[in-house]
Amino acid sequence: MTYPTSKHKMLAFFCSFSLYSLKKRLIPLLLLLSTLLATGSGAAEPIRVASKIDTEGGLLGNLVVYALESHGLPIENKVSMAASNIVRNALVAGEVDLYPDYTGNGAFFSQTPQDSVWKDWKAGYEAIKAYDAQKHQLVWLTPSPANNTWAIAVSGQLAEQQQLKTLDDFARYINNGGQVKLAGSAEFVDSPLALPSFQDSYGFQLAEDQLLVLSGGNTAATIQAAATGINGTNAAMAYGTDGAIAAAGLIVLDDPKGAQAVYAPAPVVRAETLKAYPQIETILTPVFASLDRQTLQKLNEQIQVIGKPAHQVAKAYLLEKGFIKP
Amino acid sequence: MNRILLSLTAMLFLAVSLLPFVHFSLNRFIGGEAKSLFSLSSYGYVLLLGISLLLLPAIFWQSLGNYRASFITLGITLGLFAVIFALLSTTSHGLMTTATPIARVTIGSAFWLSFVSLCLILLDSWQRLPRHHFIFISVLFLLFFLLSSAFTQQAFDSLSLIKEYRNHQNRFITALTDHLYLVFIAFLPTAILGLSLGGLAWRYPRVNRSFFALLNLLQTIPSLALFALLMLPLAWLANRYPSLQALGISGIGLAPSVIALVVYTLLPLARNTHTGLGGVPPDTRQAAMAMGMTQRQIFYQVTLPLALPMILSGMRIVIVQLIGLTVVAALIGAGGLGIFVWEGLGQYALDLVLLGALPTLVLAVLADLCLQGLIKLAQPLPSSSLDEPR
Repeated sequence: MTYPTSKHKMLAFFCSFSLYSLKKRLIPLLLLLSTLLATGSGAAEPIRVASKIDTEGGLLGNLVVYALESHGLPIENKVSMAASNIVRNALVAGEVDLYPDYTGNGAFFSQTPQDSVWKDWKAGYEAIKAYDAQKHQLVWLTPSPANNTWAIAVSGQLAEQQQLKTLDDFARYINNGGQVKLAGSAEFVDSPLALPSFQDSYGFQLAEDQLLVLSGGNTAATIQAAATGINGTNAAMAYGTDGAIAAAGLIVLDDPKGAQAVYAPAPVVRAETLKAYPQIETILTPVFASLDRQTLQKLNEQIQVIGKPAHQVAKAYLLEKGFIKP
Repeated sequence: MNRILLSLTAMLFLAVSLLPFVHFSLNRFIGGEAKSLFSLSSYGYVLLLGISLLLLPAIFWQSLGNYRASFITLGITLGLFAVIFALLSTTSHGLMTTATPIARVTIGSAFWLSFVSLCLILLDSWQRLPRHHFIFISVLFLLFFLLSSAFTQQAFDSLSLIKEYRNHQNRFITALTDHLYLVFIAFLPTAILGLSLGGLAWRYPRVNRSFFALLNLLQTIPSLALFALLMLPLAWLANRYPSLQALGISGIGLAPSVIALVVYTLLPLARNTHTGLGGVPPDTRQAAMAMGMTQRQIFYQVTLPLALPMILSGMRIVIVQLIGLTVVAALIGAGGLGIFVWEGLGQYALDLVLLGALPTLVLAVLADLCLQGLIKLAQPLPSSSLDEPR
């Protein structure tokens, strides 16, 4: 809990500001000195663990926090801290020490979105690991054997009627004039890595009136749209490890041609922090290795569909797998 | 006839009879099935009957007399508040007894509309009885007391909204205090800067045009963009000068949020200060000068008190805006009630969104009411009352 202390510092700062205007110059100086002294003499610096403010961010962040805490490491909990690009910038700027991100995002971080290296689990991991180590002194630990990539899910009814299992089936259905309306975010529809990549790989084309674009929409909103059939929607953008797909009665279509980049979740930590606490790697590697696609879907479902708090789900999982002791 | 009361009664009646009172869904994610009040409870008709009682004061307002009609309305409204909350509690418990624990009961539009209409009816009778503030304030406290005691008796625990609260109970208190703290910390510099800048703009009219143009321009920056823009320079400053870091300055969290909030709320306060000071009639100041007051006395004893209501209404805008804008600050790691809003949007869990949004709304309304009271107190006395001995 360092939030209160930073609050006190700000309070001291603003107090000193207003007192200064009253021309009492001694007090603010003393206040300033005392805050400086108070922060200078600390014990070991805690590891500032952050995560993104989405469902899986809350889950992965809490897994990291509990796993490290149970080994006696000092933690400053900043889980579900902020929007994703802000967490990344905070890590690069050294404002947080560790957060879970996805290997596929390396395409954006290194600004090489066309590179096919991101479509391979291992090569993508090696690529971003090398890039961040050299450029930002960050270490990517071993990622999970899961892929939270963009996917297309269709309503269970449609999948059953038309025998849709893979994106090849989906393309065949569309090209035969099948009725489709797909809900997606603006980014999913426009980004060359997402829908256009599916269309190129499988040879289909969705017209404008076959798309329901939810600008700024997330997969929860698109899945909801397909589940309720708003405006005739029967397909949705989804993520591979989404927890709500099954609950909404949707089926994820397989991507046998690997049209999408692989988004494997992995802890990213500042090299400096890892040097101070080398045990981080040995603690987190088995935890992340245990998180395959089904496990992540199940855990996300408990948060999103059943409504359990993320910290509770994370702790129960670590206990069940024996990563932490009760 | 009281047209306002009549139309609010009609709204209540239509809402309860036509709209869903609650929604029932099998889990937190999938959409719910709408349930009307009458399909759930035979007491639904009692509520309709109670609502039609309001027709009596609404139609015969003048013949009953303002005083008596207001009190009859107040009594019926209090009863109706009790009935809608009791129905919410019993129907939600009833639905959950036969359902799996992961099923959810969400509050429907009939309840929300009735609640809002009843609040408006209360406000309407309050305005018609301007000398009885004490009674209405005690009514508000009574309602609050009844609701909170029902809440501690777990009367609403079957509702999805309360389930979200129970699940996030520990974080809720932190989020609420973080929120209030952020508003407070951002208000101090806004007040100091806004008052002094507004005063300067009034004192030196030449600068005021470009100054307000600048503040207007700042208002047009989208809030998330401003938060994000502040991040990099602040992080750089904090890394460069460790003493700033020791003061809590960093690229995420408090520092960028407070700066962005101050930038947004400077305009209303500076503008109202400027307008308030400029609105003092010159002949009043001349009269003060003729009485031999010094410049300093004129400013502190004549100009400032006359401008005070305008300045306070600027503060009112500032505080209400701050309470709302702080929700966005959660996206850059400053915490506050916004964390529930953004997490809820990410999970399509509208009750989690409400867990953040409703307290924000209540805070804003409370702050607004308090400041309205302050503004009334600061209002100069009407000239007739100056003649009477006080």
